[in-house]
Amino acid sequence: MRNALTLLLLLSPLPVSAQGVLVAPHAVFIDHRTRSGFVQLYNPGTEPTEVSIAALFGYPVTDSLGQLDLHTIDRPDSTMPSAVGWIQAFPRRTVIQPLARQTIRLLVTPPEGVADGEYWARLAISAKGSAVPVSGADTTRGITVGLNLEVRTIIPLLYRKGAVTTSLAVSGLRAERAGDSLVVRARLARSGTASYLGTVRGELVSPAGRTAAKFDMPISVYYDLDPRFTIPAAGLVPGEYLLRFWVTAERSDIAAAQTLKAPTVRDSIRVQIR
Amino acid sequence: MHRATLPILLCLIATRPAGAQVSVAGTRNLAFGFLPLGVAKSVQPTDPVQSGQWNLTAPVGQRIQIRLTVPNQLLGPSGASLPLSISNGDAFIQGTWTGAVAESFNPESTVNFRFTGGPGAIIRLGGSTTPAANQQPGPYTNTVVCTLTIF
Repeated sequence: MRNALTLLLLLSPLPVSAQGVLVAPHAVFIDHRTRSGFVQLYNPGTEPTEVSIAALFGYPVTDSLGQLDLHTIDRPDSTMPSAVGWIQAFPRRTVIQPLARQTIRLLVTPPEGVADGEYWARLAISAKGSAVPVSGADTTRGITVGLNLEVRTIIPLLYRKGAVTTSLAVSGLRAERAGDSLVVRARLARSGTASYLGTVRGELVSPAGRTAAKFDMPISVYYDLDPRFTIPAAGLVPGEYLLRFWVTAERSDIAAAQTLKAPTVRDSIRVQIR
Repeated sequence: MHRATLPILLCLIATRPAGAQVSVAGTRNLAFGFLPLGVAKSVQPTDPVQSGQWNLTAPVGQRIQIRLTVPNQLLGPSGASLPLSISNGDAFIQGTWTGAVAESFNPESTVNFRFTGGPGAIIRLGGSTTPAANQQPGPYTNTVVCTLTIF
């Protein structure tokens, strides 16, 4: 008898093998002389993974709270340094077998006479596992649910032609206590013909001259940013501290040959800890 | 070096994933188990069995952004649908290193995360659903997308 109060719906818990791929490197640099690069993918799972590669245009921005976000533009105009339309991936779609790797070749074909400079794109690597099996129930009496998990990894691609330069200016350094942390904000203005890839560092120096707390954070400045950083401030002895803030053009996660040289920029302010 | 050692070493190198890599992999479905018709059922993101889970890896120090694209319904037979609610507090991310603290976030928005103490992290996802009293039997499916962005 069909009784709505007694009929149970089966929404079956389905085991799922890992669906996704390892992507390396996590930033692609391509020079105008070679006009080619690659991304290596590896399927660590036990099921084949269907992978597709697409290019899009976007760059990091900060919101009013200083949080980073990726601002994407579907159709960048000619004033934007977009390399999206120049990129071809081979293969663009593929199936990677379990524990197998696949090299994706990237070929960049800029228009004739393109000016020296750095051009940007983002590679979106989407991975879908095999369809989640729907099983475990008599579908004439109940229902089953298979919720597929799909993953997408977005990494930067920078195409450089000729001599490119970058530099950074820091202004508006400020700090504010928020709970057990000190929130530090600063405006980072980039100049030159390339993005600024670097590391932001800060330290709080106590009245006795000791480093009481510090932070470091990798940063990619394409257009001006006003990011936030936090320093743990719990347990700090009340008093006037010196906040030292500096940005260097080096990244621990990117080969030194790929980061452009630029002068270290510094600033400092006095901070009252109560 | 022993004659047999070199091929073994080469095999080990060949199967080692490349450095400076990032990955995100779905490892467990969000599963609701048995439900009576017309009765809501929730799965907490902290549920070690029924919550959905993704595993993330990235170099130590790397900062990433995570965006979940979640459906609000599951699609079933003959155009039938089953409401699925995944709202604020239904997701968290946590590093897998000692002392890492879970950080709840709204699945409808993005979250920035940094691998400060190790190269691994997990995302857990919960949600709730309310099958109607006259819900049509059959399979219901949809897709949750987890997007990981490197700035």
